[in-house]
Amino acid sequence: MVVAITGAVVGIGGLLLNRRGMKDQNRQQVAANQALENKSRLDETQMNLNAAMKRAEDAEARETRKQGRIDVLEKQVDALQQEVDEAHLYRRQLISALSAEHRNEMSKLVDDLATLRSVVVDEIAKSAADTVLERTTHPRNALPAPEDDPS
Amino acid sequence: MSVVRKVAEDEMSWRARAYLFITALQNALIGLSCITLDDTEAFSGDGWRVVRDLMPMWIWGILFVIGGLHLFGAAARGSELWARVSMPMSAVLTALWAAAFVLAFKDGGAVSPVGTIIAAALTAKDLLICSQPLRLPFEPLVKEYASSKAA
Repeated sequence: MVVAITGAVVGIGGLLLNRRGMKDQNRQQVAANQALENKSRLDETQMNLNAAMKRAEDAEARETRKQGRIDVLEKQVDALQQEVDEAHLYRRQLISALSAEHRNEMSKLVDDLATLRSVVVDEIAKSAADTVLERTTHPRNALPAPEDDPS
Repeated sequence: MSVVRKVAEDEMSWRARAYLFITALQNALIGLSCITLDDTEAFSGDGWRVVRDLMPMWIWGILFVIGGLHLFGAAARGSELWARVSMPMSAVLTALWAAAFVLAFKDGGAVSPVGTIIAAALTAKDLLICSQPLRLPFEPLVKEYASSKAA
């Protein structure tokens, strides 16, 4: 009887412990499945993050190259602007010199013109005086003056 | 991205299989001993009196051999269902012998309690295995993390 009871107790106990073991098993399986799912999502997220970082790095590299080209172009623009400014300065200086020369020439011309006017006026006055003198000394109806004997 | 292998729903851990195999060997050898040494002096001592009174040794042998074969099948197939049937059977058989040895020791038939201790310990171990999961769903995940950490 004792042995039979012992056997029965152990048998029932074994079945109950079996049930407990299976419950633990199922709980662990569910947890493991969830962990695997989470890991899979994490791996996917990590992959997407790596791809995004790679894209960002590529974009940054492109941006850096672009900025480098922009810097070179800006330097070229500055150099060209300097050339243009120098050309403008030279042009202004040239214009200024030409204007000064022009003014000098004009003033010379004006002076010459004034001189010429005065000469013309003098000549006209002299001619008029000569005419008056001639008319005074030699009237129009008077006989011509004897001609000087060349011999 | 690494893909962690998901443990199949019926995949048994190698530890559980090893335990089942050892228990199968234990039961099979005990059963064969009972069958082959039935009419000899091997089980003629007073310590075996209660065991012999319950059932002839050859019947015990058949029961142990059947239990051992079932356990071999469970270990080979990795079947949780077979294991959860075999383990309580093994626990009951060893518990019956433990109870018989206790009675024999109490009656003065058995001089040493070692047989009782061993049989009771085997019963307890079998019941402990019944209460535990036979699969480790986290094992692939742990291996994955351990290998990646080592790397």
